[in-house]
Amino acid sequence: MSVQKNFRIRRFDPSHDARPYWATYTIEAKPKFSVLDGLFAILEGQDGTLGFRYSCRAGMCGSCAMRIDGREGLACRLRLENLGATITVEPLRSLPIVKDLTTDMTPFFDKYRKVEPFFVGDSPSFAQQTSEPLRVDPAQSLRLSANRAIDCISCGACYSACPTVANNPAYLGPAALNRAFALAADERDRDADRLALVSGPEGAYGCRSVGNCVSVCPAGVAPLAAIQLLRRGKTASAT
Amino acid sequence: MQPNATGVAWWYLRVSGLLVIALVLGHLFVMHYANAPSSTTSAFVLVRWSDGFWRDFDWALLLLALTHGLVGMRNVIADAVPSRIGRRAGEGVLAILAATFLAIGTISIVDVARGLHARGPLSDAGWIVPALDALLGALAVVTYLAVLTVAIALVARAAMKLPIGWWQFHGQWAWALHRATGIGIFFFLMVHVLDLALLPLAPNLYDATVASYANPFLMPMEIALVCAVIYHALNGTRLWVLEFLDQQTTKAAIGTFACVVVATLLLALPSIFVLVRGS
Repeated sequence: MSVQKNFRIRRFDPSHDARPYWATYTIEAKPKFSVLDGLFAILEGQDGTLGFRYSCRAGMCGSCAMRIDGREGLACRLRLENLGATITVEPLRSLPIVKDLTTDMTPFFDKYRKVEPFFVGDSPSFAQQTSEPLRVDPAQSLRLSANRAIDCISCGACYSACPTVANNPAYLGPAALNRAFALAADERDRDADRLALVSGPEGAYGCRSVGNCVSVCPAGVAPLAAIQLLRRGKTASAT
Repeated sequence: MQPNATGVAWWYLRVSGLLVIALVLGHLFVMHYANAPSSTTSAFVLVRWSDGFWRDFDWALLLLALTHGLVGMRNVIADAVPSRIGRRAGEGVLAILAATFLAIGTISIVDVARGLHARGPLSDAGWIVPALDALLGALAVVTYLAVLTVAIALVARAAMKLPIGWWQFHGQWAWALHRATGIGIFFFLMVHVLDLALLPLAPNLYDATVASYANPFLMPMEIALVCAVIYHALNGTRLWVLEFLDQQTTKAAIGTFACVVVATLLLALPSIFVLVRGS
């Protein structure tokens, strides 16, 4: 049995519109419809100009992150039956708008790139160790913290929810710092430049411990916990 | 990871915060629970500061509260002032202010410990009391207007059925209240140091200033100040628990925030009773 749901969508096309505006649509929502299904219903049945991004539709890629009823989340994971009669949908904050609900993720990934989000080994000694794999105790506390950090899907929800990012464009943001911690917790990693960057004012100490990043993360990651461990120097190189 | 200036400031906030909590709650108990603020006259302070323990206690509180406030205000400036020159200028002004008020407070404690005369060199400067009252009044007006503005903005958004943005998150409220109370306490501390400076200079005017704490217009500020100090201390403890016991989960953060708010209101009640009875 279908139920009527109203969508109140923040729309803005920088190439046409002087400023953002609200548009309202009513759809017939079928059981188990997600917010993304609702957006498709609007796109296909009412307004073909509506812009939004999606990919996997399974909560794994993070492409459909947006603000739903003011809260960051993945449109493909939120079911309409768990929301009210009117659903407000807005694009992520702190990112330029490409069109409607589609944001330009360049600033997010530029900062992500800054922390060198890849493994940097100590080449000679690492090569010597290749005959015998390094054994990492899975119960080690740093390893357990890193386990949580590596679940990040880079959707940008935490970046949007972070008031420090909105206030300080130079601040690296929760996702990049979380990634930096995940690598710094790896005892084979030797990236001193990354540690120097994240210990700067735009890094871990720039965080104001608000914690919105933990509240909104759709993957259950706690970027603030990673930031806190960085601030306390809980990295593999320090242990 | 080697902390830079921002990192050192972060660590100082955490360590000084922990140290100052016991001192500030002790001070609050003596001045707002065991006595009404309007009854803490020059005679009361003279007896208190004739005891070396209380002199050291209050001086340590002054030092830690001022420096903790100074570093906290550095963060406020970093967040509020976009230009680098503006930030440096703001930090410079704050450092000078903190050093000046630390010196004034220290001199007041040392002078009072030597004993008080009935009159001091500024005893006839009658303008001082209205000037200090005006400062407290200005602080009160700014506080009342800020609370009113936030309330109107939230009610207006709710009336228009617009999402309330970041204000739906408990963390946003915990942070904003921590910051607002910190700013309020820092500026009140300065006014408080100024009125204490009257003790050796004009004890009669000090007593007149203290009596003005019973002014009905300032009464909500007195109550707000007690709530602010309790909240700031408890939320600082909460941050310690979350950060240093690795409890960064939404459940722990919401639960501890609720406990802080309830405990603040409950702990403030006896002080409100003392204040109202004292007036």
